Parts: sequence; C-alpha cells; structure tokens
Amino acid sequence: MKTKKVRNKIILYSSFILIFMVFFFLWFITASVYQSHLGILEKEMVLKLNLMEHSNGPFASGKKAVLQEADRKFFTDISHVLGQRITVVDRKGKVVYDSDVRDISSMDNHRDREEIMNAMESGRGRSIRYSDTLGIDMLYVAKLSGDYIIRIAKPLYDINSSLTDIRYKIIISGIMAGIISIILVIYFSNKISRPIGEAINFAQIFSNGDFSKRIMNYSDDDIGTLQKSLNKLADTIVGKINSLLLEQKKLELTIDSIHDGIALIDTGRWIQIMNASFRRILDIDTDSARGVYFQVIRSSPLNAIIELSLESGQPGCREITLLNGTSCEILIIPISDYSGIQGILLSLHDITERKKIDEIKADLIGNMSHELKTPVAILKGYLETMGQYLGDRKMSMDILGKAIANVDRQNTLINDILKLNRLEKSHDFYMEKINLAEVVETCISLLKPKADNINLEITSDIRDLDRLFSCNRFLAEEVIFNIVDNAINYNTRGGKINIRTAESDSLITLEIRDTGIGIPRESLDRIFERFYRVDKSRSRDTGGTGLGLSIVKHAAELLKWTIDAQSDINGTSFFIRIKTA
Amino acid sequence: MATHLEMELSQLTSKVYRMADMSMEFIHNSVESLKNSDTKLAARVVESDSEMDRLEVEIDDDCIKILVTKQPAAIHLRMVLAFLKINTDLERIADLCTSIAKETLRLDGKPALKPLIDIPRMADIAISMLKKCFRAFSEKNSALAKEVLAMDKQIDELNIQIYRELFSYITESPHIISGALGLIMVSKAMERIGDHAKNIAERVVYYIDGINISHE
Ligand SMILES: Nc1ncnc2c1ncn2[C@@H]1O[C@H](COP(=O)(O)OP(=O)(O)OP(=O)(O)O)[C@@H](O)[C@H]1O
Ligand SMILES: [Mg+2]
Repeated sequence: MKTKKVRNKIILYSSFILIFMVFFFLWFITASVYQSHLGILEKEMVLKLNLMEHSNGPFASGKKAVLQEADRKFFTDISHVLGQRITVVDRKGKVVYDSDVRDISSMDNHRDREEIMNAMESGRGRSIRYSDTLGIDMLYVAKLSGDYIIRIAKPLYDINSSLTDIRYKIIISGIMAGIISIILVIYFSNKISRPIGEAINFAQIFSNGDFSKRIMNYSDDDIGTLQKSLNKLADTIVGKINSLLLEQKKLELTIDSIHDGIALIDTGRWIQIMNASFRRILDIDTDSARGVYFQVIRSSPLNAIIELSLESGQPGCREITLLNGTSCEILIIPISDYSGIQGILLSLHDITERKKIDEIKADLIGNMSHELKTPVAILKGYLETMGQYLGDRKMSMDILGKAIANVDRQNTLINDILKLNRLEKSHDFYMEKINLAEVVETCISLLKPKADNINLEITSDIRDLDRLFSCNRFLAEEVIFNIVDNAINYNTRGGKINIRTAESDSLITLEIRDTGIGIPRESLDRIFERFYRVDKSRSRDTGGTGLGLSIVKHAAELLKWTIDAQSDINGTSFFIRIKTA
Repeated sequence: MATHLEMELSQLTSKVYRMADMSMEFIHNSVESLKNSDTKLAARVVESDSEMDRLEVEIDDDCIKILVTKQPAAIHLRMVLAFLKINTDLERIADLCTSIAKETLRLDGKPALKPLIDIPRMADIAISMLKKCFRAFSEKNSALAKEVLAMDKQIDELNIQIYRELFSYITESPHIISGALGLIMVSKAMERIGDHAKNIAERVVYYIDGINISHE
C-alpha cells in the first residue's frame, strides 16, 4: 500500500478550502449586488410614483371616483415617457387602468397581489414576481393615492444581465486565483515536505542496513529538530550495533578457538552455532554451514544421536567413530527453559589421538610382555639345557652364546624403551663440539659385521662432515645408527648402501640411500610412529620393534635436525638436514 | 510458517538423508571389513541391510502419499520424483555393499588375495561422490552435482586397473582363481556403486535445474 504524502494532503485540503471560498464569495457578492441594485431600482420607482402623484395631472387630486379619459391619457403619456407599465387599481382591487392592456375588463381582481395589499395597508408596497405574460422577473412597486393604487412595473432584464456579467468575472478571477494559489500551495507544501521526505528516505536506507548515510541539511523548523534527533538516533544505533558485533566476534573467536567441536541445534533441527573445530572434525564445508542438521552433518550415528536427544531432551555422552577414522566423544547438553527443551548443545571431543595412544599403550604392553617374555623363556630353556650338559664344554659354550644373544636382545629392547622415554621427557642434552664424520664412521664400523652377513656393500663420502658441529654425541649416534641399521635390515642380500653429503649455503644434507625393499607410499609418513612397522611379519624376523625411527625422530628434534624419507622401487633414501649456521 | 506440504517434505528429506548416511556407512564398513578380514563388521553390514530395505519401502510410500494427497507442483514435485529414484539407487548401493560383506564372510578371516589398496580408494571416491551429491542437494548447487559425474570415471579406471592386475595374477598361478574372482566381484560392485552415485547426481541436477541429463 502506498502511503499518503503530507504534501498531497496539504494540496488537497487547501484546494477544498479554495473552492469553497470561491463559491462563497460568488454567492455573497451576487446576492449583495442584486440587493443593492434592487434597492436603487425601487427607490427610483418610488420617486417616479411620487412624481406622478404631485404632477398636475387629472388624477392629482385623487378625489374623483371614476377615472376620466384625461387621466387615462395622462397615464398613457407617462407610461410612454418612462417606458414602464402603469396599472391603476381601485380600493376593491379592480383594475381601472393598465397601460399595456387594452381590455381591462378581462383582468383579474388584483386585491390579493402582494404589492397591492401592502400599499392598501401601509400606503406603499412592492414585490418581485415572475410574469407569465412577459416570461420574465418583474419588480412591482405600488403606492396608495386617494382611492386608487398606482403601480408601476419594471422587468429585471438589466439587473440579471449585469449579475451574469459579474458572476462570470468572479468565476474567471476565482479560477485564476485558484490556479495561482494551488501553484503556491504546491510550492510551499513541497518546501515543507521535502525535509520530511529526506527523513523518511534516510530512515528507509538506514533500516535497509546502510548505516553510513546521514541527513545532511537540516530544515529550520521542528522537522529540522526531528532530523537532528534522527541522526543522533542513528549514531547511537550504530554504536550499539558495533559493540554488539564486537561482542559477537569475540564470542565467535572464543568458540572457534576451542579445540573441541561445538554446535547448537534447535528443536526446529537448525544448526544455530557451529565452531571451526566442529566443521573440521565432521568435514563440513564452510559454505554449507547453516542449515538443517541432517543436511549438513554426514554421519548417520551422530545424526541418530542428535535426533534422539532432541526428542528426549536427555543429556548424554557417547563415543562414535566417523567414516574418516576419527573417533569422537560426544557430549550432549539439552538446553531448556520452563516451556520445555529449546535445543541441544553438542560438544565433540576428538579422541582419535587418545585412542591411538591407548592402542599404542596396549600394543606396547603386549609387545613388551611378548618381547620380554620370549627371550626370558628362551633363556630359561637354554640355561636348563646347559644344566644338563654342563659336562660337555663345547655344547655348554654354544648354548651360553645363544643365551647371551637373547640377553642382548632383551637388553636392546629395554634400552630402546628407556631411551625413548628419556628423549621424550628430558631436554637436558648439553651441546658439545663433535666431528660428525667420526660419528658416522663409528656407526658404520659398528654395523659392518651385520652388513657383511648379507654381503652388503657400504660406500660413504662424508668429507663435508669432517669438522666440528655443535651437537650431542649420543643423540647424533642414535639418529645415524638407527637409519643405517634400517638400511641394512630392510635390504636384500648383496645390496648396496651409499652414504653421502651435499652442502648448500647453510645446510648440509646427509643422505643414506639403500637398495632395499622400499617403503610403500602410504606408509612413508607413518614410519616415525612408535611401533609402526610396514610389514609386521618381516620386521619380527629382523628383531625390530618399531621403536628405531621414533627414537630418531625425537633425537633429531632435540638436535634441531630435520629428517625425511623418499622411497621407490629402487630403494629408500633418508635425508638428514643439518643447519651449519 | 511452513505449509503442510513443506513439513511433510522436510520429514521425507530427513529420511532420505538418513538413508544416504547409512549407505555411505555401508560402503565404508563393507570395504573395511574386507580389508581387515573383519567378519564381525561384515556380519553387521549384512544384518543392517534389512533396515535399509525397510527405509526404502517407507520412503517410497511417503513419496507416493505426498504425490497423491498433496499434488505438489514445480520444484516440490521434482523433489519427490528425484527422491523416488534416489531412494532406489541408495537401496541398490546397500545391496551391493552387502554382497561385498558376504565376500568377507566367505573368506572367513583369511586375508584377501592381496593387500587391498585400490578397492578402499574406490570406496573413498564413492563416499565423497555421495557426500557431494547431498551437499549439492542441500545447497541447490547443480554445478557441484555435475562434478560428481566426472568422479565416476576415476572409479571406472580403478576397476579396469584391478581387472588387469588380477588377470595377471591368475595367469601366473591358477590356484588363486577363486580369491581373484572374489576380488573382481568386489571391484565390479564398487564400480556399480559409482554408477548409482552418478545416477543420484543426475537426479539432483534434475531436481535443481529441472532438466534431465542422464542420457547426455
Ligand atoms: N631403509 C628402509 N627400507 C625399508 N623399510 C624401512 C626402512 N627404514 C624403515 N623402514 C620401515 O619402517 C619401519 C619402522 O622402522 P623402525 O626403525 O622404527 O622400526 P624397526 O626397524 O622395525 O624396529 P627397531 O628399529 O626398533 O629395531 C620398519 O619396520 C620398516 O618397515
Ligand atoms: Mg629399525
């Protein structure tokens, strides 16, 4: 619906007033002109009657009972001169003379005519009547003179035509005045309503969300005050909105920075709030953020839980696994007020890591107990056998050797676990100046016998490392030893190991390349995990427990070295990057 | 205020989405069970197939009821028609997954012929196809739905690759024929799942744009 404009109202009302005024004046002026005209005419006619009475005509005496021929002639003459109709009536109302009518005997008795009646009573009378004979308004004036009443009549031609003239002029000037004043009214009402329009415009723009506009020129009246207050109102609102936005931003940031996924779902199934972690955990794309929960969240167990909680309004705690392997602990907190449940607050806690750790721990205990128990059992077996063959020296020595090997194995495992623990927990590895080439040589020489067993050829060119580095000998040995150890363990009989360096500005890269079995691509970024072994059965053969590379990782971290690996069908390369600067 | 029709459609939508979520789970679980020789998981998949069947019938009934009693028009009509077809596709996907799970049960704990790498990859692609379809549906984004069509090609390629690989195995050692055939069946099932996902994408485009692109 279109609202009425103030301007149009003003124009409409003032036009009404104007039209009314024009008609009023028209009526008023015509009426008064008519009256005064009539007055003048009447006076003139009375004068004429007086004149007739006082002239020396036969009738002047007024005593004669019967009208004489001379009297008639007198009236006829006067009627000619004046150009007016003259009628003479006696006291009984009978017409005794009429200038315009020949046969007076046919005329009605005039006793009941208004002017005659008045003249009989008060000596004078007048009336205006429409004359059927002439078809026009006539003014009659009568005067009592002796036994007769003389009446003259005048048609109101003149007065009517002059009135028409006046009316016409008044209407013309009325219309002119009307047009001019409507133009003026439009002009002024525009002037009044423009600031109102501006204010309305401003209010509309503002409520449509453009908060930057203000009213620029104030008008100099109440509307100006209104405009000023509107501007002030706008400023206050913008201030309020800004502070609200800030609050909201703060809240959003806080919620977003929470590591757990948080979402609020109302009973209409709409997601009202959802933080970044929630999206991350459930793999929700940002642009589908708002919506009905079952259209946004793609996990049937979670959706089932949400639906159930929305219906029951019960708090709860569940654990689910998503399709991408993430395990989540879900906490449901119903939000309700006196009228019942309003929605639920969902908190997702990513427990994949924890589960993994739990698994690793369980694995560790399993592995450890297995790894610890087996050698001990074997050891016991050997020792028992040895007890039986104590006399056989050669046999005993053989068995003893095997027993010691098992103790060694046991020892390594325990040492590895302890090492890892130490590396993880402590940071108190002091830095010393050591020659890394020496460290590498030591490792190679330690592993040489093992390599010879399967005819491995180890070549090395490590001149770049033949200088002092600030690092920790124990850690450096751990890193290099374990990598070279793997290069031997996961190699094939008669394979090769090449150790070489490359130096660029401030970085030395030590590459340990083997021609072994390689690491599948999907395992490449997992080999540094504890107990991770690509092929569990094969590693068992080599006596590995999957701790070697975790030790490497931790040690390298402490040394601020970076380690990465590449692998293809030709073998595996480990790169140790050492900053020299 | 939502109209009666809109309320019923929203309920129907929620069921279809539930079915979609479940079929994604079917794909994931069936392949996972095969990969890890997890017969328990496989048995669960086979068991829950009846739930899928029930949902399918329910959704079909709902669609027909809405069509008959509410006589929807324009986009609402297209929605119901799309759901009718999507519903069948989802149910077929679940069936195919059940057959994969049955293969796991047949192996009964024995590892598959070779470590599965490509088949889980196919499963991942199929799941993300479905995800995309339903995201496109929610957002009325037909461009997104059209992306799904191209993804089906990846699944087809993987399927052919697996065929070739398994054929080479069979020629080397004929005694593994039954294991290889099992895997070929699984791979074929995955390929069909991809086709169904593609059908769904076409239905989504039909719902959004009102045009049929299934025979282009
Ligand atoms: N050079 C290599 N070539 C091929 N595979 C490798 C190589 N290095 C590591 N791996 C793979 O990474 C896994 C983890 O190695 P890691 O050294 O941590 O454990 P491990 O050798 O099995 O046991 P540990 O070293 O504790 O005795 C190994 O089991 C192996 O499968
Ligand atoms: Mg190792």
